[in-house]
Amino acid sequence: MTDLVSYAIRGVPIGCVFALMAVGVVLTYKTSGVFNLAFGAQAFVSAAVYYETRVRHDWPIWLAFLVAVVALGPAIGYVLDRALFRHLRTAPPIARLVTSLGLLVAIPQMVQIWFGNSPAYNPLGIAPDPGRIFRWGEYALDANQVATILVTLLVVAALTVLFRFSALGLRMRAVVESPRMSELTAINADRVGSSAWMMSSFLAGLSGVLLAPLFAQVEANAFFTLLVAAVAAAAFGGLSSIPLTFAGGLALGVLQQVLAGYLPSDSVVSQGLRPALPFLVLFLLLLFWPPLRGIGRAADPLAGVDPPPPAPAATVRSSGMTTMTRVLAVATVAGFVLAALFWFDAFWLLLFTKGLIFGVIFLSITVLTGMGGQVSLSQAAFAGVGAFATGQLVENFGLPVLPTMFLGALVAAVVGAVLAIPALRLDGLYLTLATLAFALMWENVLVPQTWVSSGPLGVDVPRPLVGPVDFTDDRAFLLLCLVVLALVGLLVLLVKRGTTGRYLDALRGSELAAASIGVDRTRARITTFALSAGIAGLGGGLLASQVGRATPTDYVFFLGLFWVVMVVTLGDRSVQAAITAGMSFLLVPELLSRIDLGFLPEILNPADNPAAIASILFGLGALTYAKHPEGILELQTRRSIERVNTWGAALARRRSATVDASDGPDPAVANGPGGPR
Amino acid sequence: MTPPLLELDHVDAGYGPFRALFDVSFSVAEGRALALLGSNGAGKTTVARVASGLVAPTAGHVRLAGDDVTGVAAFRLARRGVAHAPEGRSVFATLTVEENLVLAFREGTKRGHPGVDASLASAYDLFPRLATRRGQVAGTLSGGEQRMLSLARVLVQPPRLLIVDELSLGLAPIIVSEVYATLGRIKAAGTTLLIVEQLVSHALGIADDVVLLTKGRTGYVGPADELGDLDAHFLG
Ligand SMILES: Nc1ncnc2c1ncn2[C@@H]1O[C@H](COP(=O)(O)OP(=O)(O)O)[C@@H](O)[C@H]1O
Ligand SMILES: [Mg+2]
Repeated sequence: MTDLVSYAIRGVPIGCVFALMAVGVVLTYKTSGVFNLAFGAQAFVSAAVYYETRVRHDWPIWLAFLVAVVALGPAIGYVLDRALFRHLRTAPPIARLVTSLGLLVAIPQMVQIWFGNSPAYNPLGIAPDPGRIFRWGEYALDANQVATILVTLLVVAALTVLFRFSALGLRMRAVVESPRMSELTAINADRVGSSAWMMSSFLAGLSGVLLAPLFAQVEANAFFTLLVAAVAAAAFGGLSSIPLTFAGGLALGVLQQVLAGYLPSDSVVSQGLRPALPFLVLFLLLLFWPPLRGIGRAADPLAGVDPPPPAPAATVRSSGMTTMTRVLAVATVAGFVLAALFWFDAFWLLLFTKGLIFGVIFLSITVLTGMGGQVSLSQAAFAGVGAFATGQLVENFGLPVLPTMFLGALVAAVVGAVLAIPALRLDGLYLTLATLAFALMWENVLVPQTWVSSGPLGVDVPRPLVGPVDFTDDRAFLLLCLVVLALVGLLVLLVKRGTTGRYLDALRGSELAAASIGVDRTRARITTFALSAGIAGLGGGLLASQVGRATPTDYVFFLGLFWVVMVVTLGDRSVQAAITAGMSFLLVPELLSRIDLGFLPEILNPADNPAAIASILFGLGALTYAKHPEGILELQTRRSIERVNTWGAALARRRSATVDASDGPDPAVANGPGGPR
Repeated sequence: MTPPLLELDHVDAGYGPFRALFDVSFSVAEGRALALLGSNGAGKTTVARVASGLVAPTAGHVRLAGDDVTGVAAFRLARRGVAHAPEGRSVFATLTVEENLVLAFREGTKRGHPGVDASLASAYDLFPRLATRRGQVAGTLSGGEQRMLSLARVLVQPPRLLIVDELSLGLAPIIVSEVYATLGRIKAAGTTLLIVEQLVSHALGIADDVVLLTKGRTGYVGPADELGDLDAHFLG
């Protein structure tokens, strides 16, 4: 009994921090409709600044806290709101999600550049006398834990008063529902939104600083993993109730410690279950927790004020144009392949092949995000599932490699279909959260298991051998990848043109309207998600086969995030864009590593730090998604087509003017090209 | 001569690339009521949105009591006394009835504040059904009750210019008559009205002036009693 209580007490401070993070997430979700995936990144910023000032420069606690939390937290929130989220208040949910994802990718890297790569050991807490122990009978807490609990209580009390009893709280709730109607009620929606962002970002900073001492060192990854616990707590509160959210965070912290105390630390159950707890809890909540069902965001009655989104470029293209771009694309690829076969050296040959494989993987994002309008954070995990499944099946059952890759893809597809279940009855955000939980669980819980990865060295995935063709030859393997890419591309095109694609188009437009004309949302959703996971799994198998093995560090969480921001930045609506993105994924860091700006400090020099700089570039690039959801490639294509069109029209006009001056075509049609479909 | 309370001066407006209004000009003098009539899709709602600042004109000017307010944010116009009850279900569905009503008070949103109690009382007087449902979440009200609430919301603080869009839609005829009687009282108390309606008879009963809108362009602009046969305008 005493044991139980003392374990539980140890869980309270951790639970408090979970609760703080969760409340912060709920706050921005409630007030701006943004599920702030970058919340963990913001927590990391404040933790890093606190460490830098308090530990490295020995500032007094109050000053370091003032700068890192009280000043920096709200400041970041203000900037994010002013620069980004304010303009997205009436944008589709996916635009907001992608924007916060871009931040999640870019911010930690930017902090790392400033913070330096040298490890930051032994972070300090906010308690003035950290060694002091507070005792109640047989129970004890140290000063930092007590400080955490006190601060949390203070924050929760303040928030409750705000939302229950204050005018600002009421206005915040009104702005969440309809910024436009709030404005008609004389509320400055922008200002209210800003205050919400500042408050929530303050909580991010606060929880970052409170969490840091729980770890041996300050590093970004710890904060992402903790975010899952916070998201689980937020889900417990139905993404809206602050008291419930708080209770959820607390319960999770306590549960984790109690489990840790009771389960023998060397048992399989404990090693598997303990770290998996937050993920499992989140996933179960997404599946079964009634408050999450059907909340969605109440539709804004004034949504009709916004113009419809512009038509994707492909629909305003003339058919001649389409043919021309296709021919051009095929010619380019063919040119590259010929060059690769006959001219590239081994290094570039491998790189180019890898680019083709990433083209395959990125097509999975085209399917899910471009066509399905949903965001997955676990594409890297699916690729990993494909790769490890292939490896294990080949190793344990001696199956031939090539067919097994497709079997691996099937395994990934099944996992994907299971993950898609929460998204069936709930809106797209829950799918994203389920993939967040899965991706982190994959990395932290599943991959370390020997039946998945066979240990840190990973599992062999040999090159295929089909009849007389031995794909250990790099040129043969290149052709294989090309064929797979072509087949998958074709499959994606077929799906896009076929019934499922039409379904998805309808669903993207309006779920309600689509349902009323009998579009089966369940089937369309599961199909796309399983297809997408399967494609990623196939790509993962190919990738492993290229290097000969799949290792635990190949398919990490962060990589999956980077893939998504990369594809949405370049273009998620077309097969072509996915292939270009695959090439850029390898070429951009490669090119960056050749840009040697020796005058810059090492960490800012692209040549020394290509991966981080690429993350920042594409993370920030994803911020353009809201404005140009078709991606910059498609945007550029559209611009050039428009230019060619106007040029063509001008030419035609001049010609007809010389023929018959009185009867030229009228170019000034008010709702002409570029208008609504 | 005092300038009109609301003036649209050669206004073009639209949504993205789509143009909904073409060169619309009219004005409403202080204390008068103007009915904006037209078929579906003529652009009436867009005119209302331009007048309350929800949609910014792409050309032309909007003036409020002589001041140029083109492109001014909607909440600033609201603070200057422009109230707009949008068409359709326009209540905060997640707030309670009473929260919907007190939202508009800038000085304080609590009962007990001077002014708040009295205004709430008069709103509930006007729509007794709302009084019995004051603690209920607005999204669970019936359609008619929601329309009442959206009207009550703009009336709790007597506006200087009241814009009502398709007020009668979804209300029982008897309530429509009541609401129009209320509008009449508000007008008598000095509020200027811009009424967007399909139910022409009610609107014409209260309007001093009429603007006819067809495909985003103004047709007849003038006093209500010189309008003559409406059908002739629409057909011709
Ligand atoms: N958000 C919007 N995006 C694009 N077009 C719109 C939007 N809202 C209205 N329209 C179009 O503008 C025109 C005028 O609409 P509206 O002002 O609502 O007309 P009314 O109120 O007279 O029925 C219509 O053709 C309508 O389709
Ligand atoms: Mg209308």
